Amino acid sequence: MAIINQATKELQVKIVYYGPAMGGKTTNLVQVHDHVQTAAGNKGKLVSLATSSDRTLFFDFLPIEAMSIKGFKTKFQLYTVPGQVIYNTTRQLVLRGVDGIVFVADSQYDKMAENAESFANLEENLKTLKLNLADIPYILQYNKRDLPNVAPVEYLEFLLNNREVQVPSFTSVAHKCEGVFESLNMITRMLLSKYINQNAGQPV
Amino acid sequence: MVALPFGAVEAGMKQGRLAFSWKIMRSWLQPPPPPANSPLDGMVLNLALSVVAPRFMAESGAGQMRRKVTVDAAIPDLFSNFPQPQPQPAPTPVPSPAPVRVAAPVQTVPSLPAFAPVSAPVAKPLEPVAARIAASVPTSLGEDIQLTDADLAADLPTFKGAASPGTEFLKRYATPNEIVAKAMALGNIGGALIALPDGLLVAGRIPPGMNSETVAAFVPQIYSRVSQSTRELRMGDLTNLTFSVGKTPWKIFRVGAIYFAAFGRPGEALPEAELAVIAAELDRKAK
Repeated sequence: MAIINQATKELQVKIVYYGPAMGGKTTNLVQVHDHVQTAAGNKGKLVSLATSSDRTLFFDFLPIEAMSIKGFKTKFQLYTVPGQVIYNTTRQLVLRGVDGIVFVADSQYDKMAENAESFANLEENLKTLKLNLADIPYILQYNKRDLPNVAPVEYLEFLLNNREVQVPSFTSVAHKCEGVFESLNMITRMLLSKYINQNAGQPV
Repeated sequence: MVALPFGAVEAGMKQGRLAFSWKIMRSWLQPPPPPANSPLDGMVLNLALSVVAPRFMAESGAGQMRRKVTVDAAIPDLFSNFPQPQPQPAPTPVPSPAPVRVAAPVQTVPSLPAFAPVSAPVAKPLEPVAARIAASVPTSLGEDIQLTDADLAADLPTFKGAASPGTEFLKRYATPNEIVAKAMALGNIGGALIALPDGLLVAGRIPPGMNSETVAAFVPQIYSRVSQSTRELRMGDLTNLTFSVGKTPWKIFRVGAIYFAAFGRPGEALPEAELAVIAAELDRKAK
């Protein structure tokens, strides 16, 4: 849930990068951290916390100092989750308080089952937190499009974006920073839309 | 030739896996083989998605029009001036109908007069995938998908993707597990853990009887509440926190966004200086 700090006039939202192991979630965050341009001091340090076999990333940053919505600065916290199947407890913890989700799918044909399982796992974990994916802004990112054995986007859409309402989706080559910021821009715009809709007509 | 029933294929396609037993596959062979049991009936065969998926998509009309999430264009991109994609060679043209255009957006946002647009030039965003997906009209739903022997025998590429890039920095410094292990090796330490601001446990060694995830959930809250008090008293930000529970001493450090907590054994002092040195190592983990 977005945190609105009336004292500091900040809107803080949490975005979680979710998806199968080795799909490119970490690479997305590294690219964002390396290339995001903010006013001095407004980019948090990229914090990497890794156990011997697990890994979780966390960093936060204030993207643009002048950016304001009704006088509120926006602050984004970006997280990744460990994609490995056995770390489900960690994924559930990271999903607590999530505002938006970027699902990073691996486009390779032999990863399709893992994509589907990870997406189903996302829905299950949200249910344990009494959340419904339909109520949370999310987008799909089809990563690794530079590899030769990738499935057509149409099939990825059938696999992951086949709900009643189609969410935005992007192709990406995260290690070249292609599609990374396009995805981030879309999810942040969706989050701001939701915030604005919720607060429409309310004094802030 | 194998005639795959559409329903069976569809179910598999939704799971990203097409796996059928030989017994079932035999029943789909055309012309049908002589009825007899095979010792390999229980063997599970995986069909290549790369062969089936394109035909399935062509047959199923899965790209049919659906409502889409839209966002008001009045809300600009927040991030710009990022590296732009290199020009790509033109992809092999694929015959496809015109792109889908959805008339009725599902979520629209009212215009936002109080919104302060970013002054930096906004980079042209990548076109969403959905806008480029061709719609194919459902034609033969329910019909079988015909695969020839040549399809089944296709010499499929078995490329195993390149190693995931961009994570080398994870290996530069001691892992949180190693930091916790260092703390535990100091002596007089009953347990130690590392947690994130929202209470996520990263690493820890906690004795049986205590729930490490619960402790991790409370450590940032304990620290932040005391810190809030010190700020309100205009004493400044808390640098670390020492307290005792019964005779058990506790120490919590905050290093950037990371919390490092350790507690001792009842009646024994904590090696605070050494713990501070270990906690400082967490600072090196920030890039």
